[in-house]
Amino acid sequence: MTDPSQAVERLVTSSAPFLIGVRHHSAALAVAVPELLNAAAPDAVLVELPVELQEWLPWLAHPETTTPVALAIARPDGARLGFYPFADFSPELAALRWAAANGVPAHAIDVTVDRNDDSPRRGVGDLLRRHAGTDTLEAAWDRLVETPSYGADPERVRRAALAYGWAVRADADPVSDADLVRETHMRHRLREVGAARPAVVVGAFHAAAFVEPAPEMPLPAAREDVVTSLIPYNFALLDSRSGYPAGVRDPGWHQEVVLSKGRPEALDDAVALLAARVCARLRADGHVAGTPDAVAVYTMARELASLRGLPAPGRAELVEGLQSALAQGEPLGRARAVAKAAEQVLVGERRGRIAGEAPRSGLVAHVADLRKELRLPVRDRAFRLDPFRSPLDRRRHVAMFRMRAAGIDYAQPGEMTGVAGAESVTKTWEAHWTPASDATVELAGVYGPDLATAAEGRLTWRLRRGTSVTEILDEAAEAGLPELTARLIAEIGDTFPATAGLVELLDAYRQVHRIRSGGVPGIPTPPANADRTATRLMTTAVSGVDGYAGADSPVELAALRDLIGLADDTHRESLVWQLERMTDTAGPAAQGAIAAALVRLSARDSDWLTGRITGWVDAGGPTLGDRLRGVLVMAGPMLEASSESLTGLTERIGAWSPERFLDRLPALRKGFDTLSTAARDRLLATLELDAIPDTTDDPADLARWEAADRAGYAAVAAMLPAPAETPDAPAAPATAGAMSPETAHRWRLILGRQAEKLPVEQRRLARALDELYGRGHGEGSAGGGLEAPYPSAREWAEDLTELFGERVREEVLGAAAARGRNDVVSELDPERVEPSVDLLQNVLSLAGALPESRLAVLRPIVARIVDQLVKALATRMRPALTGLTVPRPTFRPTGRLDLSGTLRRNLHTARMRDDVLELAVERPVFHSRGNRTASWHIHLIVDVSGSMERSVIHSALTAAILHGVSALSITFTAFSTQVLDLSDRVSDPLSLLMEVSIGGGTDIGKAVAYTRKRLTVPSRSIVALITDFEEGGSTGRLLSEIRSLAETGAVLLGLAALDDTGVPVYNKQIAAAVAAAGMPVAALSPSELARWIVDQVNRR
Amino acid sequence: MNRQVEPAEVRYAAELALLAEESGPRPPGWRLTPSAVVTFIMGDGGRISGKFLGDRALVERAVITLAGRRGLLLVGEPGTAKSMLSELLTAAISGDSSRTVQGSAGTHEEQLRYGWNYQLLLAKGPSAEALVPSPILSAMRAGAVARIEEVTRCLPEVQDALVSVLSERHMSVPELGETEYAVDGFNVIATANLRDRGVNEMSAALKRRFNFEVIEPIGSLEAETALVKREAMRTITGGNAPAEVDDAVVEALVTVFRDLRQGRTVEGWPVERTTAVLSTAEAVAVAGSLGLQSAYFSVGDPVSLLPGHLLGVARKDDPADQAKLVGYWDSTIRRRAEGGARLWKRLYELRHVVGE
Repeated sequence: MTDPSQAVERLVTSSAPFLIGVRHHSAALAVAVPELLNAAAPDAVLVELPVELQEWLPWLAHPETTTPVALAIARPDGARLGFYPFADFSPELAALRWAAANGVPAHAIDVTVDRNDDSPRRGVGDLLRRHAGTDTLEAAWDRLVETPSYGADPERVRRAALAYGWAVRADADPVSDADLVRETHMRHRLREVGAARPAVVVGAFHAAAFVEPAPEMPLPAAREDVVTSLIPYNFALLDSRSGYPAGVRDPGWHQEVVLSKGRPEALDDAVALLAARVCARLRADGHVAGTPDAVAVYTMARELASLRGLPAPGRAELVEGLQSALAQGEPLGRARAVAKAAEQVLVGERRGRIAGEAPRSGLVAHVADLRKELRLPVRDRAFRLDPFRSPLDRRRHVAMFRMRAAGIDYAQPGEMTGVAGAESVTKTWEAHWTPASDATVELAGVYGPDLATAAEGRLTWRLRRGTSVTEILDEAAEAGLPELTARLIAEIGDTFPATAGLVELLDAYRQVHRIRSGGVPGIPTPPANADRTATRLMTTAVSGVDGYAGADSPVELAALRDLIGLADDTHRESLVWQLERMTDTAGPAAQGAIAAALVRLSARDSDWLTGRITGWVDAGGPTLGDRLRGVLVMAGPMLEASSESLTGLTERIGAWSPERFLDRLPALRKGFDTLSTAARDRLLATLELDAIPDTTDDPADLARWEAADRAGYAAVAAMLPAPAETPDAPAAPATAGAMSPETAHRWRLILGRQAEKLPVEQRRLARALDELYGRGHGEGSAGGGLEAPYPSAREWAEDLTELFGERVREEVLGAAAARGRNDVVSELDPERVEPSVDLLQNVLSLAGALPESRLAVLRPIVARIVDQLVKALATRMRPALTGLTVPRPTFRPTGRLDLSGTLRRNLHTARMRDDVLELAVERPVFHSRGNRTASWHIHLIVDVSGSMERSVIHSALTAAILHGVSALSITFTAFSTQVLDLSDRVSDPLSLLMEVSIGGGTDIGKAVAYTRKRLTVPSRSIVALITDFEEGGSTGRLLSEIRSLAETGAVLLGLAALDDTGVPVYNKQIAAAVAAAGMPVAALSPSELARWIVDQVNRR
Repeated sequence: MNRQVEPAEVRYAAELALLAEESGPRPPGWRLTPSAVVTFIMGDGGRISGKFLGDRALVERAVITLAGRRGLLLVGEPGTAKSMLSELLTAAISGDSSRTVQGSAGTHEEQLRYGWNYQLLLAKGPSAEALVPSPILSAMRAGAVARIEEVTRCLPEVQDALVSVLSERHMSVPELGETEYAVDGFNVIATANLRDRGVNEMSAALKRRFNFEVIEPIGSLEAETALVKREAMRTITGGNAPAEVDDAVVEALVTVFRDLRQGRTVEGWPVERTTAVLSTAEAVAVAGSLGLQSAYFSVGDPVSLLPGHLLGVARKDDPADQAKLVGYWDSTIRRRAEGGARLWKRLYELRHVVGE
């Protein structure tokens, strides 16, 4: 083996070429290079960049080019051959800038070699490990070259770098073929340039190849077909943790080093500044980190540097200082927050820009060409494309979607995608090329030099950042990225069956189905895995349908409806089997939906459905409205088309006495209100009410009909041996095909339409109900005049009492309150209200919408209800939490002397001496400590999305009670798609409940992430997540968040529902996956939750 | 009578004397320069022996912390040489490692501040001679480093007595109307165990007065094996038994400990981690017992003792750990035995010892 010091000496003293061995990102060398070149005064500067990039060198070194920027070489098909990011701390760039400033020619001398991806990476070998004592090249470089170089003589820096490179080469023996080929090429180029005093700036590893004998390798043929580009870059991507190639850790730090020109004093200041910034960032995230902490970090970094004999603290010292002074030994708690803050500060946010006159390249040039080639309009409000018939339009379609995916602000699709199969073939775009479009093309350039790579790059980035897979899949497929599409489909197939909820599964199924049936212009040949994935998704959706037994919200019911619509023949049987099992056990709305679904699936006939509906209607009760709602969501269109199933219902309605009808009318109206206004009109039309003569107020007519009715009844009665039932209504049982006018009116009331055809007294009923339901919603609800609304809620309330009675009045007013009718609240009497969670829920749903003056009326009601509920709960919870805390006397020295006890105990030793009473204490008595206080942090994360009202109330009450226990600290985080920290309000459940506004979507992952960041002492923390597990965000992210939360060692519990009663509605798949990720899931009532917390606290 | 254990400043008196000669600036009150303290602990490959098998940077940070105005808190799993490191640091910096408070649930404020000679107190009232200084107070008076072992085992309100000492650097004695000020060189090293049962949380205020250093279990198998062997020999020869610890057995022992501690074997196979903490210190104890057992009872095959000892360690904390040990035997040891290694084959034959 050659003697290292001699070998390094040969490298250092070589003058032709003059060697500067570098690492591609090195602030110390970047600072030293200009001075080294000044001293060497070469007549040519040669850098280790592929020759194909030669034309870019002047632009790279251009004074108007702002770093970071990157050079890229790619094949015409977009496959990347080389990628070279540059920043101010790149020694090569410093050399090129020096050459440009001094008029010295610069040459790129390297060649691109196809690297086999699994060729072993160079690592730290024995030699280097002995000297540096670390295991990564980056750390070894930092320790041996970078940090000792601050303020050092440039020549010494060069020597250190060359020595480092020599050591890596010695360890790497033998040098790989690819490296040898490149080195051969570089030597050839050096000879070709033929300079007298050339300076070669290459990776320190390669320096030896210019001095020592090295094998000559056959050179590859020159590449002519490559595309090169110079693109703006940013620090976020330059950071090596971003996953992009050729990066460096913490570019922001290196930038600071260059700015301080490597001078130790300036660097010292930079460290102080960065320490202060990290502390500020921590504070912004809600952690305690004040000036004393920043001082401690700074001192630690500086003193470490001096102990290690370094001229100034380096990155390692700064990071060690942060870790030691801020992280508090909680690698999973606070240390993560520190790491995150440090990452943000040390990575930095700098963006690069290319000099204005530089030829446009990369994405900018590519997009400009493409726009010309595809004749994309500068401005077109309705740019119509027919991608399935015209090949040009197909390319345009894909290009537009690629631009969208790459984040280029140009065109919006004018028409949204409909349900599966119902999509139109042509697509209209609204396109407008603005200056913002140019700017966004520049930005998108960081992801790649052509549209396909840029689109793929940005989509992958977003995916990593937590955008849902289905959303990305949609964009990837439309953008014609078959590989990414296939990868995403595979991922969906692997992860969704275990994690996704019904809504998400169906969404994914629709997309995959669309892709596999060739419905996406960008993907003409569907990926091989699409069929299998679609089948798996549907199988999972069908097998998980029993999790929807408690479905109640429109979204859940609609998901069930979609499932029935999408299920293919292979899954029909098992779906029917599942639904059959649930017909009687499911919640009311779900029961309705399931009954109708079985008819749609032809598993039952419509008579059966009619039977069920009439049964429910006869039974009446509070669930009737929900059952009907379920039926109508599922079977609305079917009923519109034929009134067959409603015949039975018509019979029942006709047969009721007016009282019975009135009693059920609000529920029926509520059920049918599910249908849009137009749908109700169509239903009326199907019922053919118009065929029945309109009623008039003419008493003669009425008398005539009355007589006819009675005659008809008598006739029927005569035909039967004995009366089947005593008619309790004047209306006769309807005979087939005919309906009495009375029944027709009842239908009008139920459907809330054609009020003008009603007799006067019934119009009052219609008006009282219209006050609640208005004109309905959806199709046909716009425009048109109502009957005059009630002048005030009081009159309405009075009318309700008069027309329907007390019970219905309460029901209708409650529903009105829940629908946001502020004024009805004043009709509620605080003294007389019976406290119930339901009422509280209704009243609270108003809180957000009320002005302060009205809130004042509401407050006593809520306060009273909350008070009573808290009392009831607390009696059950408190004793378990507190226990006894009475101090007792003890002989154990606890430090608190029980003086009177000691005196009493030792009185027998009392002696008088010199007129002073003296006590010889034999056994001092002490106070024992009370109960041991164990401090625990309890984090309640509460879902406040639509379906969770009752749970929110219960969890707020629980939080208030727990807050009263001194040993526990409570944080209360409410979330929908936003996360809201209400911890400062837990002491006052009233204001807490007033603060929470319920509604919106669900992003559990976000809330869990928020809480995880706030966990300071995981080992003494309890995290209770209260949700229906209907994750609207990315399930993958939720699970990884739960996993990291579980890793911290905190005690976790997922609560499916925090309700004393009711069928829990929750997503079984996600709940199971969450449990598998380390958070047990249970359905506990508030008192059970308290008991569980006590158990956990006492266990440790 | 021989002492079972000598304090570090006695055991390494020669080395300390040698290092005290090193010139260079010292923080006020320090006996050695900071770099000499680091050398004392890490060794210099020559006359100064290496005593701590960890990261040099960590020791450097610890030394820097002690020269500053924050206390040093060493945290880590049990048996990671936290206490040893704190003893070595105090011995090197102050020449006296005896000012120590042992933290426990029964530790009270007097042990961190000051107590009274109650008889004197009742007889004569508060006076300077009735006051009994805590190790902390005497370290403040002497300008030395005090140690608090297992600080998290103290109740939180007791721990908080340290807050004012660490931030104000004085302790007021209201009974005497006096304030005791810390002399230059005073600082505190605390050790804490964040994973163990029965530990209390430190208050945020106290945490902010400390720099934290996390001590990890020893990184490499060879280093840990060597340490276990060396320490085990020391316990045995201390017992004056002409004992020998079998190299192969120690290596097997350390391998099993590391596998079960990390949840992953040397080969990269997954293993279920035990609840019991399988620390290096525990391995030393087992290796020592193995050596003593074969010395006094002339065991022909020391390997045969290993499973029993392992079971004893595993069962300490959680009976379920036995099942994990059996699982380890059935998967990892079996695969290794099938690989043909003689020692592992023998261990697999002894599977019946750990359970059915």
